[in-house]
Formats: sequence, C-alpha cells, structure tokens
Amino acid sequence: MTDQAAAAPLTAGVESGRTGRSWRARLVVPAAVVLIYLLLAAFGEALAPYSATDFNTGPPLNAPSWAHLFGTDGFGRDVFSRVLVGTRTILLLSIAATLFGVGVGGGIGLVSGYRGGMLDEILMRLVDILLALPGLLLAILILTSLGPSSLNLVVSIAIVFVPKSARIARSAILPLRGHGYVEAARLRGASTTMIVFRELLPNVLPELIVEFCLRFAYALLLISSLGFLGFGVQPPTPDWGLMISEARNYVSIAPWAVLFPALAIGILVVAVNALADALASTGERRAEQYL
Amino acid sequence: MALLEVADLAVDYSSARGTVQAVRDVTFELERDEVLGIVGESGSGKSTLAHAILGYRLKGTSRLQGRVTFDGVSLLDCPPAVLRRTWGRRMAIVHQNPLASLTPTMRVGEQIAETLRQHRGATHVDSRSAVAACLRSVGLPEGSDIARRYPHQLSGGQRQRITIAIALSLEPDLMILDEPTTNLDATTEAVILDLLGEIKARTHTAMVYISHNLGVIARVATRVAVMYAGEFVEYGRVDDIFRSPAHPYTRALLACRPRAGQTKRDASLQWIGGEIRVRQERAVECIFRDRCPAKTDPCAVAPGWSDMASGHSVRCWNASVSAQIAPASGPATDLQPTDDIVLDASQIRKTFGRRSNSVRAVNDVSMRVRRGAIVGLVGESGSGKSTLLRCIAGLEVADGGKTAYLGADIPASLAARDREILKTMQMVFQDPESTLNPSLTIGTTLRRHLKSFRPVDSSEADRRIERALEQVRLGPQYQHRLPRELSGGEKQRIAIARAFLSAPELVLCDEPLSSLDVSVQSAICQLLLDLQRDSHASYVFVSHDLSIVRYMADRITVMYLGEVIEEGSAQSFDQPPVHPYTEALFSATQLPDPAAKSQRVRLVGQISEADKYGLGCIFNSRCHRRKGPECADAFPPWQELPERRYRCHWSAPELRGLQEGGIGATPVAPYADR
Repeated sequence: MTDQAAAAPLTAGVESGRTGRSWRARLVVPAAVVLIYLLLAAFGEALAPYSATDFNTGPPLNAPSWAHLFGTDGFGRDVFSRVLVGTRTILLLSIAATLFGVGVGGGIGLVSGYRGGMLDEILMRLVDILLALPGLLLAILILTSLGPSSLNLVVSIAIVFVPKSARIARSAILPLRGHGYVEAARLRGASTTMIVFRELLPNVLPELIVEFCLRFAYALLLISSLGFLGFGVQPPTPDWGLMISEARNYVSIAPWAVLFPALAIGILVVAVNALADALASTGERRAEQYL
Repeated sequence: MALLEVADLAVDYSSARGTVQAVRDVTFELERDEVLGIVGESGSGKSTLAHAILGYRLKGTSRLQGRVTFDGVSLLDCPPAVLRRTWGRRMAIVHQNPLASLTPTMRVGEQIAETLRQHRGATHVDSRSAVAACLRSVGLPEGSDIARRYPHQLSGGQRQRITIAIALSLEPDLMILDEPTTNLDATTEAVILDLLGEIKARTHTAMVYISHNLGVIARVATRVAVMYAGEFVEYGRVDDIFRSPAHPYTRALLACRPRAGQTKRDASLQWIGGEIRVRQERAVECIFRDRCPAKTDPCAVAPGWSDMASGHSVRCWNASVSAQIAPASGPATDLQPTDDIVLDASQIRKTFGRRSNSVRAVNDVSMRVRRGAIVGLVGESGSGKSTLLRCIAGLEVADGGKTAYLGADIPASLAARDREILKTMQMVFQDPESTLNPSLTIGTTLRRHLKSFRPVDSSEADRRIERALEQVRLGPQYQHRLPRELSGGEKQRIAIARAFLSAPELVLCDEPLSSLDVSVQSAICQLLLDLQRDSHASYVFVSHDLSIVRYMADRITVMYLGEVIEEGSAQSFDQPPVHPYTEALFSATQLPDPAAKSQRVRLVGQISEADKYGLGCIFNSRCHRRKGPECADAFPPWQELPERRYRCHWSAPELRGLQEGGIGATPVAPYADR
C-alpha cells in the first residue's frame, strides 16, 4: 500500500503526462503572475523612476515615451511610477481585507456549522440579511458612516465578505460533523474550539484557500471601484481606481492614463481568479487520487 | 452452445497510479436456468467483471479484451447501437445501491414504463397494465400506490424490488446482479433472495450473482466462481465448492465465518493476513502466494487450472495435496464474565425531533453489562441499537433514564461527565474511513487521545503509542502514516488501539465489522477478544450480523423499534422458544452451506413508526405468529425462561410447541431443482 503510494507520482507522470502538464501549467502561470505583482508591491517604489506624488515630472498628458513609459497624467505625474507604487497599496489593502473577512466569516461558519441547532439558525439568518445587500452598496454605506480611511476601507470590505465566507465554511464542515474522529474527540472531552480548529479546520482548509483567492479577486475589484467612486483611498495616494477616475475626463486625448492602471487591475484579477480555479481543481484531483 | 460464453476476458483501468489490471483470464460458460455466483472480497474485480460481461466500459477502462459471446453474438465487437438494443431487452443488470440507480425525480412506475416504451414502443395504456404486471412479478402489492411514489418514499427493500422489476420488465435472458442485497437488512435480504428464486423458477433466466457473502452465494448459485485479484481461482458446482473447497483462499474464506453454533469458547476463527494487492503487470508467481498459508516452492510460478472433479477446477499447485490450513486451534478466549456490574443503564429514553414529527428512537431500554462480558445488541436498521449506544456514551443526551457506571450514577450529557468516566468508557465506530482524522498522522491522533487524559512527556507518549500499535499487531512505523495510506482493516485496528490507550473498562463497539471484508472481520474479532483477555474490559457489541454476535457475545439483547423484545444468555438462544422476531432474524441468516434448509420465516412489511404508538405489541403488524386480538390491543408481558426472557403474549410452552412443530413457517430449500 505504502510502496504504491510512494511510487504514485512517478507512474502518474508517465501515464497521464499530457493532462499532467496542462494541469500544472494552469497552476504555474497564474501563480507566476501573482508572484510578480507581489514582488512589485515589495520593490516597486525602489524601481519607480519618479516619485509617485510629484507634480510636473514632465509635461501633463504626455504620451508614452522613454522618459515616461506609460505617459503622464493631467498633473504631469508619471503614470508608470504611480502604477508601480500603487501595487503595494492595493495588494496590502485587499490582502488585509480578505484575511480579515474570510478569517472572521470562516470562523463563524465553522462554529455555526459544527454546533448546529439554535446558534446556527440565528447566525445563518443574520448572514442572510447581510447577503441580501449588494456588496458595493454595503461597503459604501459602511464607509460613509465610518468616514474614509484605509482601516475603514479594510473593515468595510471584510464585513462584505463575512457572510459569503461563513456560508462556504459552513457547507464545507457540515458533512464532516458526524465523522468518527469528531465523535472520538468529543468523547475524550475536547472543547468545541479544539474540535473545530484543530480537528476539522485542516480538513476544510483547501476549500477555504480557494475561497480566499476568489475573495481576494473581489477585493481588488471592490477597492478599485470604491477608489473610482471616491470612497476609497484618498488622493494623492496612488490608487489604480482613483487614477482611472481622475484621468477619465481626458480619456479621449490621453487614453494611457486610464489604460495602464486598468490593465494592471485586469491582469491581476484574471490571474487571481485563474489561480483559485486551478487550486480548486487540484483539490479535486487530490480527492480523486485518494479514493 | 451456451447462452453466455466468456473467454480470456481482461479489463485494465488507467488511474493516477498507473494501469491496473482489474480482471484477467476470466473464462466461463453459462446456460439458461443457471446461476453463476461470483464471490470475492472487495478489490477482487467483481463489479468490473459484471460490467465487462455486458460489454460495458466503466469510466477509466483502458483495455477490454477477450471474447464475450452472448447467444452467438460477440459483444465486444458489437457497434454501440446493437449493444444498446441488447442491453435491457436481453441482458439486464441490478446494482448494489437502488437509490443511485433510480432517478430521484421520477415516479417509479414511470421509470418502469420508460424501459418498456424504449424497447417495446409500448403505448401509454399498454404500459400501465404492463407496469402493474411488473410490480406483481416482484411481489409488490398491485392495488397500492407504489407505482406513483418517488424512490425516496420507498424502503430499501422496495427500491431494490423496483430495480429488479425494471431489469425483469423485458424478460431478459441474462440478469447480472451486482451485490443486490448488500445494503439491505438480513430480513429484507432473505425476502429478496426468495423472490429471485421464484423468478428463476418461473422465467428460467440465467443469472450472474455477485456477492462478497458466501452465505448468499451458497443459497442462490448453481455454480460458483471464487475470484481473487481479478482472476478466477476456483470454479465448480456449488456443492463442490462448499463441501470440498480446494483452493487455500476458498478454504480460508469459509473458515473466516463462524459455523452454525460455533462460539468463541469453541474455536477461534481463521483469518487471512495481508490484503489484495493491485496488480500493475502480469504476475509470474501465483497471485495468492503472498497471503497463502499453504505456499510451497512451486508457487513462484503461476499455476494453471487443474481438475478436482468433473466441472470443479482450481488454480493451485497444492490443491490435490490437500494442503490443510492449520485447523482451528482451541478456544478464542477463556475469559469468564464476573458478577461485577460495570454498566447498569435503566429506562433509557430518546426522542428525536420536535413535537409534531418526533421519532421515538429508544424507549425505556434497560441494559446491564458485567465485567469481562460481551453484550451483543442486534436488530434491523432503525431498531435504535446505535442510538442506545450513543446515549450510553453521551454522544446523544438521553431524555430519560438512569445510567450507573462502575457503581455510580453518571450524568447523561457528555459535558457533565468527569474525565475519569470519559477515560474508561471508549467507543469504536462503524466506518473505518471516517474514524481517523484524514489530515493527521496516526501518531498525532493517538498522541492527542493520550494527552487529553493525562499529561505525559513525549518519550513516554512515544513508548505508549508504540505499545498500543504492537497490541493491535501493527509496527511502530505506522505512527508516521496518514489514514489514507492504510487499508480499512488497519484503520479499524488503529481505532481500537485508540480506545485501548486509556485502559478502558467499557468499550462500546458500534458495528465495528460491517464495512470490512470477511477475512479481516475475523482478525478484528480475535483482536477484540485478545485485548479483552488482557484488560478484562467489557464490550457492548452492536451488529446486524447474527452469526458474529452469536460467536462473540455472552449475552444477547434483541431490539425492535427502540424497545428490547428479548434478552438473555447467548447460548440460551439456541433453544426454542425465541421471540418470533428473533426467530425471523435467525431464519434470515444465510449460512455458507448449500444444504442448509432453514425454516422459512419471512417478515412481511417493514419497520413502521405507527406501531410504536399503538396499544399492543410493537411487532404485531409484522408478526408471523400472531396469537389473537390481544396482540394489537394489549402490551405483551415478559415471559421468563431460566436464562432468558422475551416480550410476547405466547407463553414459553405454547411458543415452543409452535416453533418445534414448525407451524406458521414453511421450510425453504435453497434454490430448488438444481
């Protein structure tokens, strides 16, 4: 049994080489793109040729040239530098919001699903109420009542994510609830926290990771949308959504100022979605192998 | 020419772990009116073979080779359109799980009619009368509204009758039955087997019956093929196979099950070490060599077929030498229960659901367990035996009743029990697949269990875990493995090791054997007995397998609809009278002996909730020995026997008279005229 298990990857490579390669490509390509974004977030500021907030680094609304790779915006700021520096802002904000939202939502869902009964009923009805409100509107509502700041942005997006993550986590944990190892843990006197987070969490982690990636992509879109609408990151911080919003008046004469931040958002969102997809199907492959 | 001729059939699968040879070298012939029983453990390739006989490629099949000739037509060369016309009309298959083979959103009558329309072009009116005829042919009452129900509204037995009705609707020449009764209760299984016998006598349909259960095969088959790791290893008439089994595997399989009346005090059961290995390439040696108790030097080369008698052949070098596997050695255990009472549960009551649609799962059940005793708890599914066990364990909070454990009353809820109780009362669960946390190594699982009862330093923990593994006959290397690397039997051993880590006084076993192969079941039985001898623990052993309970238990409690209807010492159950329900349960047990003629006691109907709320005996609507109006009007009293008591209106002498005279029961021969 064990020998076979150990030999499995080797034979799998030979037998299903073609499907194996395409499957790996589906995981590696989006992961590489996301990794590049992460590197840019870390070192973008150092690479940027100009300061992201300096006015008049060149003539305003200048087309892309060697001096200004992505051109300049209406204030003569370097679009390339702003896109680079903006990477960090949006990645930090969306990662924080997703971690916070999926963490809290997942926790609520796990406990609610495991405990069941009245607690589950109450929590899930509250979740339903939150789910009934459109995400962007809810975020705007929270932001306007809290006032715009980075922290409030994170909090409002996290609140938008809580109900959906709770649902996912709950449905992942429900079928595991009656398993023998859970009952064995109850019989040895383990607490609910212990059972949920040490016995059950490892078994639903793959689902939660996929959920994290999906929510992360949503967070990027939400932050950009909020920035565009003026509720998000406040000027002069370079933010892709805000950049698009500021440059949209000159879109006919200086399309680059809109195009490059939009591309930056688009590519990242597609890559993160593809990564989530690949991770989900990896999970399924795993599950099939162990059957 | 035979109806079905299969020659050199081979099926390969491609999986993530490479190509697997699921079936090889299968050759047999089947005539009309014959039933070929194919018996083998899980992983022997039985289901793959069943589909290959139809010329059907299951998902993942990479090679389907050989010859399958059905009534002169070679199925493996047929164009798909011809195959589709043959399937259903001339060949039919019945699967193990009827809930999965019926469409959930379609009335069952409509599903039968669909088959008729597809193959016969029957019109609406014709098909309605044809559906009624089909239902009648599988013994479903005509006037009822069964045809208008959806699959989920039927019981398991009724569902399987519907799938058989669909298979039969076009009067096929060949029926393939792939474990059709495995998911059913023994009582329902007996009824379905009767039905198949009647169908065969009436229609002369040839059948291929696949099962892991030797008793069922002995009952239905005229010929038997024993399958191991994708190959037939023995083939012959049913009497030859069961009377003079020649292959060491067949012999070992038969010795794994307790014989009629055999108990742990008589002899221990045999088991087969190791497990079926998945074959990736043709083996040079005999496929059974690594597990064979009778292997010799020539076994390094795969044996060919040799004839034992006419029509009885075997693939073994040593079959004629009669290489006996060591005959069962002495008693499996010599431990005698003491008078000390470990568990005294009285009047346990548990109701599920809220007022309007509540289900009384356990109703005023009392149970006593002495130190060192095994109390067997039997009953059909839905009888409340698992719920009772879970109430005792504290996994369910009983609504009423008192539980005294080790001389002191204990609270019903798990949270209120103190650690010492949790430590000494352990449980072994039914499903080996979910009994261990799939993301933790065995060592971590055991260590968490150990540390929850007492702080131990890590070297001490390692030592105790190694000892626990040794006790269940597994090496220390298992600590580092994940559950998915283990077989079902090994997982169940780990679960038992977990239960015995904390020196238990009482171990509650909830059907620990039911998902294991027979060869593994007997090993687990012996393991439980050995551990009991060393620890003097007591067991409550829930099972629907009466032979195993009779073998293992010192006392037996029979439950029906959440109530105890009979209880007493295990050996006293051999003597009549027994409660009519117990009689039916025993009668439904299929013994691996084709000559065994049982008194046919068949229960009609099914467990019904309504019976619980009547005034009379809860069993009265299904009872074959109903006494009179009092059965429906008055709650029956306990009838006391020296070592046993049962709840019935018949007094002991009356019931003994009925049962010894065989009144009310028809003797049933195994499938007649062979």
